[in-house]
Amino acid sequence: MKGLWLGALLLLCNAPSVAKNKLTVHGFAAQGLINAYNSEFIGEPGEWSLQLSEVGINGRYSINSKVQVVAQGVYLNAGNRYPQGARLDYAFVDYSLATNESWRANIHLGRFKNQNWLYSATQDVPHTRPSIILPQSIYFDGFRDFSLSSDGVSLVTNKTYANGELQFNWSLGKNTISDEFTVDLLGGQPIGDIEPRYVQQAGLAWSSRSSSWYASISLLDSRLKYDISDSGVSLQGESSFSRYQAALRYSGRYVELNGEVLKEKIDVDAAPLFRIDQIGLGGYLQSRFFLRRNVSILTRFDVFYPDKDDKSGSQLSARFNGQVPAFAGFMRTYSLGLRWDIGHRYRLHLEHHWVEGAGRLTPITTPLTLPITERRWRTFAVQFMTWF
Amino acid sequence: MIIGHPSIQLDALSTQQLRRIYLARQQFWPTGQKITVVMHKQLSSAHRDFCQDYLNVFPYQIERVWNQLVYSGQAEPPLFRETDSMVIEAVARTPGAIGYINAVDSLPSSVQEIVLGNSSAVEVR
Repeated sequence: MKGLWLGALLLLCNAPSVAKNKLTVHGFAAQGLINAYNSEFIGEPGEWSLQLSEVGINGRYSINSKVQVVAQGVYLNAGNRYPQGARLDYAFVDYSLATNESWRANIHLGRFKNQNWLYSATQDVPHTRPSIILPQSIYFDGFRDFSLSSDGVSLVTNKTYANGELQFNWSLGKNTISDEFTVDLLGGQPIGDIEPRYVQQAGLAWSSRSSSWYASISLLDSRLKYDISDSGVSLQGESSFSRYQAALRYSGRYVELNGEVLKEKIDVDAAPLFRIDQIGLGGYLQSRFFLRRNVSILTRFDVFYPDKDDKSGSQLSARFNGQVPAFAGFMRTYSLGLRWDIGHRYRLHLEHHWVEGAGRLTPITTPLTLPITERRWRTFAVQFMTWF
Repeated sequence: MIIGHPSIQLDALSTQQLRRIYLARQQFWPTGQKITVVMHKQLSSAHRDFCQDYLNVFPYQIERVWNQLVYSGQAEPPLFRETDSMVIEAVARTPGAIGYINAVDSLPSSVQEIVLGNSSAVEVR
């Protein structure tokens, strides 16, 4: 990390200062009311909660036409979904390698955001999301900090052709590993610790000339170091976590349809304590119907299987002698939402999710620590948001 | 019509370039001057018509593009104004600014008309 900031400093020092320096600051705030019935997804099952607060502020300092310095901090309070508190979502030096009428290439040095999924670059900003709760197959709350941003170097390019636009992104860095991510990967007991080694991401996206169609593929490959102690056995080693994703979107006058699919591979060899080598599959299909200029309805089906060879969860349950319910081996969610733009910078989201299963509530290696959840549970949420 | 601050040195703008500017792909003029994009408010008819007639996108698409860039540190948000006269005033006050208004016979000297070329005309949906 020290080398990274030194590199950022060098970029700043070599920047020709011909343009007027300028700082701009923007922000957002959102407060909601949420209730998860039959599940500890938020807090106590069936209890209304105000733990749906999000506040963020971001700044951009233009040194000249080639170099900008940017950062965004947020504060979150979302019950059991995320650790409560403040975070630095991004802070990097943006250096323009080349730009002209048809293409642009930038390099980001510092903590940058993942650009490759449909909502990855804005999943932390309430008014930019299609719904308060994103589809958990792709945007698993427990992996929020891990998947949102990385510390390292990122290349962002786009080129306009006669028939559309091509975007290519590549990055190499280290992820933020929160305590919650550790718990989600290793289980609820303090049996170990994990540290990031590196994460490499690449994404290729194409959008049609009229922007009606958008398609993308992306890859995330990461290595993690772990240090686990349990029952007198101490182990250190390396594990891998990788994701392959594809997305497709159609944007029309009255309706927008989109979906993403995911293949997630987790490999942790900590024998004799445990060994996880499984491939998860998931994805969602979503539609947005524009009823009026300021009102739209959202419907979505989202599904996730942590282990593609055990979609019923029966093997998982058998492995833990029935102490883990089979419904921890899958999660299917049907969602219905409403978005109302009350004014130029005021928006209201209202939604209901019907869920069967707990595949995205369960720590991967130790499903015994599954939060109290029934097979069928549901969430209702309403959130008001504003930005400046 | 498209208007710009008098400091912009430009003979004409292609529709492809206008699209790249309003979709935040191009953020600086060839001279190195920063581009400030001025728009009508997002729920207005003027904004809807401009998005569809000039850029061939719907307002919700352009909002998403800007959000993705602004909230990942890659662009400054556009300026939003209520009326044509407010757009003219914002463009006149901001070096490097570009905006759109309904066609008028004569413009104040504080802004210039930017003529659109036909090199990459987009079909209107």
